[in-house]
Amino acid sequence: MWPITLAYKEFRQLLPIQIVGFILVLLTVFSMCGINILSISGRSQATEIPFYNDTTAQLLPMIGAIVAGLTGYWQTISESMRGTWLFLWHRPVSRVRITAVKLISGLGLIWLVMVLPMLIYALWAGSSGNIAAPFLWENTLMYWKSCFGLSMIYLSCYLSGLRRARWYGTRLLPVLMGVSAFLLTTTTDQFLLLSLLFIIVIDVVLIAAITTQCHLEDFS
Amino acid sequence: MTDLAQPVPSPAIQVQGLTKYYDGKAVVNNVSFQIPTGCVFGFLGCNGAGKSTTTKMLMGMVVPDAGSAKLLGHDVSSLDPQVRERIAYIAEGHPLYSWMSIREAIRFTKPFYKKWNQELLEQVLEHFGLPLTRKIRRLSKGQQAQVSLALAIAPQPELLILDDPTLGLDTVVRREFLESMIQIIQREGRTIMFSSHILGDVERVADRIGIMVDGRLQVDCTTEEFKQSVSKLVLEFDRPVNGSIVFPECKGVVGSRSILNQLEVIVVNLNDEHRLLAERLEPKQIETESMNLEDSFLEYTRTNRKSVPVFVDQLKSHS
Repeated sequence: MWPITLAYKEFRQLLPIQIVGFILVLLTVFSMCGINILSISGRSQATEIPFYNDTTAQLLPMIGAIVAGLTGYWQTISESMRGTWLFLWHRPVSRVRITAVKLISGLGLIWLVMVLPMLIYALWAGSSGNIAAPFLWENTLMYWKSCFGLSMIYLSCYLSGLRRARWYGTRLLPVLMGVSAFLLTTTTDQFLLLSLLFIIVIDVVLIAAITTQCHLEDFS
Repeated sequence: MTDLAQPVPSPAIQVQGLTKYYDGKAVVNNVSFQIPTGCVFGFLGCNGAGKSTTTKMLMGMVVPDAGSAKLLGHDVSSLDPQVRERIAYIAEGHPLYSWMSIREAIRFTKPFYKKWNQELLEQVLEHFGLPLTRKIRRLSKGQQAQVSLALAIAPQPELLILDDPTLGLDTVVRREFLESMIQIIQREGRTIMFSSHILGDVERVADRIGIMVDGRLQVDCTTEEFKQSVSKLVLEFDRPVNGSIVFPECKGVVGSRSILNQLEVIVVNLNDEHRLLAERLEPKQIETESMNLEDSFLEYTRTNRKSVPVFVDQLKSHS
């Protein structure tokens, strides 16, 4: 089953980024649980309202954005640097299918890094006796929306890594678009459904651009 | 009366007017050729002549600005995965995932193919003495080339396209690799197209050669025909030449140089007109020297004058 071996390859290649990202998210979660391992802020964040604080609204989405951007770039630039696009594209499978597996792998790993520790945190915060503030599952929606929004940053960086245009020209345009759309959709807790719809539209546009670019790009 | 004549097989590779521009300069300029099925085609040219870009356009890695190409009768712009499975491609520099071991590279590549000859793969790896557990990045360039070759032939392709497979290999490894390659690949009458800038490699293994000069295909004929078509006229004078005697401009003359009292003239398709022009210079002696492929190639490509095309009817000459 080639999708599994390709997904495994992506996992292996992205492992360093994911490990660093996972550790950062985990340390932040520990900090929110009152275990401040690195003592960065010098105070415990365990008293904050779960999922309704600066950490989940700003710090974690920022870490997620960096992880998503690096993942998108590394998945494309590492292939370009080693010249392995030539090896990969010659496999007897359409480029669209190969790209689909790469994108699903990348997005899956970002979600694993961003969602798994926070699910554990949500379960911890939801258990009685752990935190003084009330825990409401509705409060987590803002965070999950941020996680959805990361796909725009990931896809735009993937496209930017794929295109071999000038960096100060059109190459960075998709990233600017992705980051702007991310900020637009994640800095407000209003218009949840509209935001999700907007994220889906941007993702569809970026995926279409990526698949088109796969066929138009000169892989030399 | 029934016609029992065998149908002529279609060429394995058909290229028509392939053109590619980079920054307004044509790096591949209106290139057309055909490679008959079962042929070993050596694709030659100096660095930057356009071999690699042509090969990449054939494999669909570079989009041509004009022209078309067919592999095994299928247009390369819309090559089905099923057709791609019948074609092996080894890109320049043998790109493989360096963090993988040879075993991992096999595990990664194998699931893409319906037809996979594991026994052949193991035989080839054993022939080259490659340990399965060794990481690709720990292998020498020659060994990486061998792994690429093993992975390329395991799906038992009908057509192999190799882009400068001996690039960066030392003389001994290069010769061993090429001999093994031909022995392994061609035993079932497969078609091979491989590019190189080393003539000695091509001379030993290719049936036909194509030579690219400045983005144009200037030679497309059998190896023997090319050797025969390029000759050296040596005109010996009784005084030092030192540029005082110049061979006249004439179709077929690709270069000339003076050495002491000799004037050497490189000619494509030597004929009576060339001999007459030589006699008019009143030399003491005229000799026609045959050249090996390497000398022919060097003389043909290094000249400042515009190279004279050497084309021979492909299918006829191959048969």
